[in-house]
Amino acid sequence: MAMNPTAPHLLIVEDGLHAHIEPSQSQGMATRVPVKSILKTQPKPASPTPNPEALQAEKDRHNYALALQHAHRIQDQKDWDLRILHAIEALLDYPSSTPVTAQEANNFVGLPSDLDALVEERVIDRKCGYALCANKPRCVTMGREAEWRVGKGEAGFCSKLCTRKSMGVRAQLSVVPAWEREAGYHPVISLHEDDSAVVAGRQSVALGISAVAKSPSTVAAKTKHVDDDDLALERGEKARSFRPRQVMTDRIVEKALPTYKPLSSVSGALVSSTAIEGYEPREHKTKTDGRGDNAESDDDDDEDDRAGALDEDDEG
Amino acid sequence: MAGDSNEASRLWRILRTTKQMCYDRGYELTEEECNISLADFKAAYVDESGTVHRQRLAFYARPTPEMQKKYTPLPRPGNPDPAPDIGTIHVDFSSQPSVGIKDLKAFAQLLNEKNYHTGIFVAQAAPTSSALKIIPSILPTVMEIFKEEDLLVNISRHELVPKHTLLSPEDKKRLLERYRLKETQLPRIRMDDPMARYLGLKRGQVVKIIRKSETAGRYASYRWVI
Repeated sequence: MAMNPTAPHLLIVEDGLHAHIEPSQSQGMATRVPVKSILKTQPKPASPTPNPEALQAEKDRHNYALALQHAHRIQDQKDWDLRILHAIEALLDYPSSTPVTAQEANNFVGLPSDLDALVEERVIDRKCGYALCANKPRCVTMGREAEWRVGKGEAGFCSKLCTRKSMGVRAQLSVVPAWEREAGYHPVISLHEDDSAVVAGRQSVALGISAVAKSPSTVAAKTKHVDDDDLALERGEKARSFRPRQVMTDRIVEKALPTYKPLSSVSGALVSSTAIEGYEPREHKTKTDGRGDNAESDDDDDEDDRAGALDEDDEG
Repeated sequence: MAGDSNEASRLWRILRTTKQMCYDRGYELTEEECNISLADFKAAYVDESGTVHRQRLAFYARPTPEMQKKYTPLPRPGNPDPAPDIGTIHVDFSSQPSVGIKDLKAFAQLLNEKNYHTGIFVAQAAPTSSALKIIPSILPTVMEIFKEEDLLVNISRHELVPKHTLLSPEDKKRLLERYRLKETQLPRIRMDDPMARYLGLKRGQVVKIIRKSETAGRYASYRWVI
């Protein structure tokens, strides 16, 4: 009868099939702990069904929260759309109107399709499609044959250079909509060298160069200083590295191979007749005896171990 | 010369359709105004050189009392005497071939200044998509855009189009009570349906559609605007 470590005043009586816990006789009659059966207790009767109104209220609250979440997301998208619209309006008048403050036309957060919309609007307003250019587009200077002579895309710009610049900016815009980007992250758009000086001089940033908020992960990745210790750690050379002795060491130690002595040199060796150069091949059993197979294969393993051990003793 | 008269007759038809549309909606317009003849139109709007200036075609109209009743929401405990959600309408015709943000902004500013409630902008070509984004931002002022070619023919006068009538909020409530319906159980008509746009319907309104029936002569159906 084992002593129950958790409750020394109770004894575990093993009955072959069950183990009862009985109060120990040595304690005397001082404490009578009721016998607790180890069989699973009956399931408790089901609690009375909660109020259906309460359930409904719970469901309504949950649905309301969900609907509110979606509504906020849609409102966020609409706010972004409005912001992009304001940016397009501001860039529409550029550069003839008063210099736009960095606050208003800071980053062009739109998609490439929004830039196309901006070009279209500027052309309707009889300006070159590129935001920083004040010339007339070719559809105005050339007249009605502009599309035929220079192509549909280029007719909205004053020259090939402007077209190229606009394409360059378009390629740098992010395809991901503004509301799906990481918070506060906008791609840095670098302008053509002609314009970056102009813009910097004016201190009005139309297409987003200065004060660009970079995403925290990008900032962390770019400013992280990689030192040699870290690299060594990766290679596993320092003592700080993860399990150095097991993974990699400077010292190379040759593995002690078991030397093979031919059979003739060993006299009276207890060598198994089925061994091939010290290796005992396992017997393949048929699949008919499932359990017997397992038992026998276990026995085989034991035999192998013992045979192997004997061999080593002999050879060593 | 022929081109100009073609242009003039186009604009005559467009103006007629627009006036009929305002009359059908319920604004105060006389019959003669709505069914102006080509000769009268030419006399009034075509100048000596033969061209029509679209700016001269613009007009405005006030709602009739019946129309105001249809647009007054039901009285609620917090709002016992609600004001009708309708006011003067201003119709403008654009003279530029393509409409951008600036033109629509100018129109919106005009509506704001003169305190018009609704504005109809008739454009020669469809406005740019970014220009259309201005429309929801100027609520409660309502701005509707129509293309000139859509207004050449008055679709409500077509023989296959039944008569659509807007129900007042009381009528709508009575209808839902009579049939014991929820709004969503009514058949629906979209806001961008040509007849819905013709009548300037908004979400939540119900139209009564009266069509000819072989068996009963006439049949009334209802549609909820969504």
